[in-house]
Amino acid sequence: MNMKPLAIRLKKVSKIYKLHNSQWDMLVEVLRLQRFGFKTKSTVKDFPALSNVSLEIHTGQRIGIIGRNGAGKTTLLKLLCGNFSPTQGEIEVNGTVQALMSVGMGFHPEYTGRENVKASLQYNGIKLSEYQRAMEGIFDFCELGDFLDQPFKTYSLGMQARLMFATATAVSPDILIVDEVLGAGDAYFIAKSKTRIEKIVSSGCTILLVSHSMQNILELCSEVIWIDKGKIRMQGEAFKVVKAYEEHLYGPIQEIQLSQENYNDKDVKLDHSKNFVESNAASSKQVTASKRNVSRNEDILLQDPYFIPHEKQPFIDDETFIDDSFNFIAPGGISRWDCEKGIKLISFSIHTENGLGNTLTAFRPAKFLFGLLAEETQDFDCKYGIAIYDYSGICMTRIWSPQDKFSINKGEKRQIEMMLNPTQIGPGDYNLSISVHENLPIEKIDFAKRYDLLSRSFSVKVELPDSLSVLEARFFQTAEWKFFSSFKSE
Amino acid sequence: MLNVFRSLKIIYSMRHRVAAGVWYDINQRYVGSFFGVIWVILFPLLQLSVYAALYTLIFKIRPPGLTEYGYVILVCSGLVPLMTFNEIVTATTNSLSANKNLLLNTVFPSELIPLKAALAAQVPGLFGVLIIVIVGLCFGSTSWQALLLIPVFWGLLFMFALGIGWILSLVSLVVKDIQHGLGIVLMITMILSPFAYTPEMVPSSLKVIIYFNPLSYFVLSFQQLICYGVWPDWLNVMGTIFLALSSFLVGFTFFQRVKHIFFDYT
Repeated sequence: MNMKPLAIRLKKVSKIYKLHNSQWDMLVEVLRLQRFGFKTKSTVKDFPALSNVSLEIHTGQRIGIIGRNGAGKTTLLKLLCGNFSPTQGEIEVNGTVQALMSVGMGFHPEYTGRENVKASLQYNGIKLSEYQRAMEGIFDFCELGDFLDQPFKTYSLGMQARLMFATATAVSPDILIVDEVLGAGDAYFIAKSKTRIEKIVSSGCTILLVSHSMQNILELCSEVIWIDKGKIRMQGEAFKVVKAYEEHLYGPIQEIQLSQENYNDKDVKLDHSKNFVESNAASSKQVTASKRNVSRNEDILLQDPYFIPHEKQPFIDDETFIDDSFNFIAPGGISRWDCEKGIKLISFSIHTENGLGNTLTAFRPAKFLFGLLAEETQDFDCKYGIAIYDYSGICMTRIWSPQDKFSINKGEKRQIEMMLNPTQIGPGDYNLSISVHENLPIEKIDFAKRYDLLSRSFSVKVELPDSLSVLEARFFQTAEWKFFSSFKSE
Repeated sequence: MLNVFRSLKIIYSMRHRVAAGVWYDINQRYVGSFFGVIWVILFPLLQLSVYAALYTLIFKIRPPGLTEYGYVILVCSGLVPLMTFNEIVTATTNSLSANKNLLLNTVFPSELIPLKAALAAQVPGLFGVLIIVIVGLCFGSTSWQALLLIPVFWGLLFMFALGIGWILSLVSLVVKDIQHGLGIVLMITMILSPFAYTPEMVPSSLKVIIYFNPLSYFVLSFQQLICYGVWPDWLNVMGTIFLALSSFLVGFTFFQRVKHIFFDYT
C-alpha cells in the first residue's frame, strides 16, 4: 500500500551484549585471547538487548519509540547509526543518519552556542552557500538571543536541547534520531519542534523519536513502536499503541470481580436503580433551581452566538434505560488502570437530543451516564472525573464532580449522570477518560485514593450545528461585551 | 588491499569535513586560554628553547665535527619528530573515547576520528620543524635540496604514528590502562632514541638498541637532512618507508576489521 521507498529495514536483528565480571575477562573475550591459552575467570553472561526484531520504516514517517528503561530503545537507535553492528540479522539504512542521543553530547562546553553550531554544521558537510541560511534558521528557531555568544556550559538543559535540536534539523539528514532530547523542552518548544519536524518530514526526512512523554509522542509521531524486553511488542497507529502501553504501565486490565449471583439478581438491580433515580432527580432539581434564578444584568451584552450555560432546562429523554455495558469504546478498547479495590465502573453511555449517540452538537446539551458497581459493602465518599482529550493528547477539559457520599452493599450499583448544558467544546474527534476517586479537595486530588480509571477509553465526536458551521474553534467561551462612545476631552 | 584504496578514496572525498574537524580540534585544545591559538607556535618555540639551553649551557656535550649551534640543531631536529610522534599517538589513542558523539553519526566515518585527531596533534610539530629549518638555514648547514625531502619524511612519520594510533584508539576502549601507561612507554622510546647523541657516540655493543627502535630511523633521517644537510642513508630511507607503510596499512585494516567489536565498549 505504501509506495514510498524504504528508509530502514531490520531483518531478524538481535543484539547481545556480553556482561563481563571483570576487566580481565572482557579483555580475553574481546581480543580472543582464548586462542593463546588464556582463560576467563568466570563465564560470560549474555544480555540480549534486542532479540529477533524485524522492522520496516518508509521514508517520511514520524516514528515514536516507547518502552520502559532498559527495554532496548537506545540499542535499536545505536544500531541504526551504523557504527554499531548487530550480533545477528541484517540492517539496511538508506541515507545519512543524524542522531541526538543525549543533551550536550558533541557540543563543547567552553565554546559559545554560535561556535558550536558552526562546528557542528561543518562536521556535517554543509555547503558554504547554504551555511549562512542554515545558521540564521537555527538562531531563529532556538530564540536564545544574547546567550548565543555565551559558553555552552552556561545554558540550561532546555536551552541546550533547543540549540541541539535546531542544529540537527538544520543539516537535513535523511534520517533523524532524537533520543529523549526533547524531554528537556517546555510546551512552547515542543509546539515549535512540531512544525519544524513537519517541515523536514515533508522534505523527505524520516524521524525516529524516543520519549517517555506520551503527550510528546502523540503530538509528534504518526506511528509508534513499543519495545518491551528487546522485542517489538506493538506497532501501529500512535494513539492505539500509547494507550496500550499506558495501560500496561499502570496495570493490566483486571476483570471486575463480579459475583454472578449479585449481577443477575434483578431485585437488587431494579430496587437500586429506583432509589438512584429519585435521589438524583431531587439533588439535580436543587442545583438547577438555584442556578437558574440568577438574573442577568441587562447592560451586559453576551457573545454571539448567544447562550448562557445552565440557563435553559435541557430536554433529553430521561427514560433511556442504561444496560450494563460500555458504549462508544475508543479504538484500542477499554484501558483500565490498576486501582484500589472498592467500586468499579461498569457502564457508560452518552445521550443527546437525538437519543443515544456519541456525536455531540456544540451549543446543545448532552448527558453522560455511567454506572458503578460496588465490590465491597462500604461507605463511600467519592469524586468523579471526566477528562476529554483530543487525539494529539491535549486535554481539552477536565470535569470534576462535587462530593458524592453514599453507602452501598457489595454487588449494588450506583448511577451517575453528568449534563453538559450546553456542550462548549469545539468540533473534532475526542477521547474520554473517566475516573472515580476518593473525595479530597480538588487541589489535592492527585493524592486521593483512586478506585477506578478508564483511560482514553471512549470516543466522542463534536459537530457544529449546521447553521453555525463557520465557527471553527476548540472551545466556545462565554463573554460579556460592552460598547462605549469615546469623546476627546478638550 | 583494494579495499583499503577504496576506503582511502572515500576519506579523500571527506577532506573538507576533516579539515573543519581539525580546525575545531586545534581551537578546542586552546579555547578559554589567554593566548589561544598562538600556543601552536609558542609551545614548540618554548620547548625547543628549553632543550637548547639544557644541552648547550648545562650538559655541554660537543660531538666531534659539530659547532655549538650545530649541536643545538642536531638535538632539536631529532626532538621535533619524536615529540610529534608522541603527540599524535597520544591524541589518536584518546580520540574515540573523547568523540563518542561522532560514533552516533553516519556523516563522519569513524576512521576519520583518529585521523582528524592526528592531523590536529601534528600542528605544533609542524611549526617546530619550521623553526628548526629557519634556524638551520641561517646558522647551520641545512641544504636547499634537503628541504624537498622534509615534507616526504614528515608524511612518513605521520603515517607511522597514525597507524599505531588507529590500533591503540580501538584497543584503549577496552583496555583503559593504555591511556595511562602510554606516557611511560613513549618516554622510554624517546630516551632510547638517538636525538641528543650520535650513533658514533654509542658503544658498539649497545648500537643494536638504536636500530631496534623504529623511531631512530626517523630521528636520524631528520638529523641528516636538517643538521648535516646531506641525503639520508639508504638504510634510514628504506627503514622509514617500510615502517610508515606497514604501520599505516596494518593499522587501517585492523581498524576496519574489528571496529564493530570494540565500539560496543564505548
